[in-house]
Amino acid sequence: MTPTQWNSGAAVSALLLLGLWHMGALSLQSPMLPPPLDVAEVLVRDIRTGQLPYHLGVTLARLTVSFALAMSVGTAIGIALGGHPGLNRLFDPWLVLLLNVPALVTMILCYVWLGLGETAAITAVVINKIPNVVVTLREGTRSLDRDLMELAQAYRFGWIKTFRHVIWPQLYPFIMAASRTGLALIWKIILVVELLGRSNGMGYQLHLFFQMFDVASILAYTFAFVLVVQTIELLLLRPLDRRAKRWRR
Amino acid sequence: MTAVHIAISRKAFPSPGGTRANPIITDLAITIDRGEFVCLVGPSGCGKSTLLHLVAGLDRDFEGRIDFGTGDITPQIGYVFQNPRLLPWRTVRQNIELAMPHERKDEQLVEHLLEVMGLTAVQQQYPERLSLGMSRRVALVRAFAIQPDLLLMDEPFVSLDAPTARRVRQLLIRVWEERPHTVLFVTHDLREAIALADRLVFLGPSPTRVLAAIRVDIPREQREDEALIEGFRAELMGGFSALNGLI
Repeated sequence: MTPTQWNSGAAVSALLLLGLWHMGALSLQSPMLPPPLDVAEVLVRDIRTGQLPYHLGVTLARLTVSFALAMSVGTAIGIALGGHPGLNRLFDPWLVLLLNVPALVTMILCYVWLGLGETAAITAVVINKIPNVVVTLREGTRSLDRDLMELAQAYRFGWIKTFRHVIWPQLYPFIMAASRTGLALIWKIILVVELLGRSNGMGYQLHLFFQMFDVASILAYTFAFVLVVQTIELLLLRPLDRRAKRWRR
Repeated sequence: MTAVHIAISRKAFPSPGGTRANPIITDLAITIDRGEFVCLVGPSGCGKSTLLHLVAGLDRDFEGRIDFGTGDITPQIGYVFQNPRLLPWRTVRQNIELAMPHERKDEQLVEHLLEVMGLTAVQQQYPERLSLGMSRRVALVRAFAIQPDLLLMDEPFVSLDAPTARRVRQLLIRVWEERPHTVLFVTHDLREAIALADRLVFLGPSPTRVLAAIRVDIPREQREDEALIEGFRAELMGGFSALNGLI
C-alpha cells in the first residue's frame, strides 16, 4: 500500500465510524450518547475558554517529565543489568516483583508515603514504567554484537567512541521499542494518577465529568488527548525510527 | 614498526561443563622481526585465530607473555578479522576514519587507499549495500589507514573468488611495500602463504606447536608466477613429510 492509499483508507474508516456513531446517537436520543456534533461543540467551547488547553498542558508536562525520567533511569539500569550477570542475578527478583505490582498499588503507596503532591504523582508513573524499560534494554545489551566489541577493542576506540558508534546504534531499536510502549503505558497511567490525587490535568477533569455524567465532555477531552498522542507518534517517534533505519538495505 | 616475541606456555578456554579444559596452545614460541611478513599456516581449529586474539590483547587469560620490544608503549595494531566487521550504521568512509587515532589521521592516505582498492565510488555508502569482496577491501583499507606498527590478518581472503582474491593479494603487497610494517598473517592456504610471506611458520593441530619455520626465497617480483609457487610448495611437501595431511 502506498502512503496515499493508506491515508485515504484511514479517512474512509474514520468517516464510517463517525457515521455509525451519529446514527446510534440519533436512534438512542439519550444524553448517555451525544452525537458527534455536540461533542465537537464542547471541544471548541473548552478550547476557547482555555480550560482544555490548560488541563491538557498540565498532563503533557507530567507526561514529558515522567517519560524522560523513566527512560533515562530505566536505560541506565537495563544496560548495567544486561552487561553484568552478577548484578542481574541480584536484582532480577526485584524486577519481577516490580513488574507484577499493580499500577494502582504503586500510586496509592506513593501518595501515602510522599503526600498528595506533584513528586508523588511523577514518582508513581516513573516506577510503573521503569521495569518495562529495564527489561527491554537488558535484552538489547545482551544481544550486543561481540565481533564489533572486539573490533572496537582492537582498534582502541576508547569508551566514548565505543558507546557512541558501536553500542548506541545497536541499542537504538530497543530504546525506540521502549519509547513506543512507554508512551502508550504512561499516558494511560497518568490519568489515573491525576484522578486519585491531583486537582488539575486530564484525569482530574474526566473524574469531574464522570461525577456529572457529562459524556459529551468526556468524549471531547478524550478525543483531544488521543489526537495529541497520535501527533507525538507521527511527528516525533516515526521520523526517529526512520532515521535509525536509513542504513538498512 | 615493531617486533613480536610470542611465548605462550598455556592457553585454554574454560569448558562449559566445568571439567578441566583441554589446552588449545601449549609451549608456543615465535619471534617475528621488525617489518617481517610472516604467514602462520595450519589446519582449521589449531588455534591460529586464538593466537591473533592474544597478540591483539583481546584475550588476556593465558599463561606466558607477548612482548613487542617497545617497552610500555603498545604498538598501533591493525586487525583484519575473518569477517569484515564493519559497523553497518556508519558509511564506508566513517568506518575507516573511526578506526584512525587522532594523531594519525591522514585524509590523503585514506583517499589513496580507497583509490588503490577501487572503493572511491562507494565511500559514502552503507556497508550492507556492498558485496562481500568490497566489504573485505574496506576492512583492509581500515587496517592500513591507521598506519599500523603491526598488522594482524586472519584469513582475510577466505570465501573470495579466486580472481578477486588474487587482486586483493596484489593490492595488499603493494600497500605493504609502500609502507613496510610487521605482518602476522593467518591462513590454511599454503599457496597463498607462499605468495605473500617472507617466512612461513607451520603450526600443528591443537594443542598448537610450531612444526617448522621456512623462509620463502622467491623474489617479490616473481611471486605472481604460479609455476614457481607450485614448485616451492611441492618441494616443501616433499622435504617435510610431517606436513603431509595437515596442509
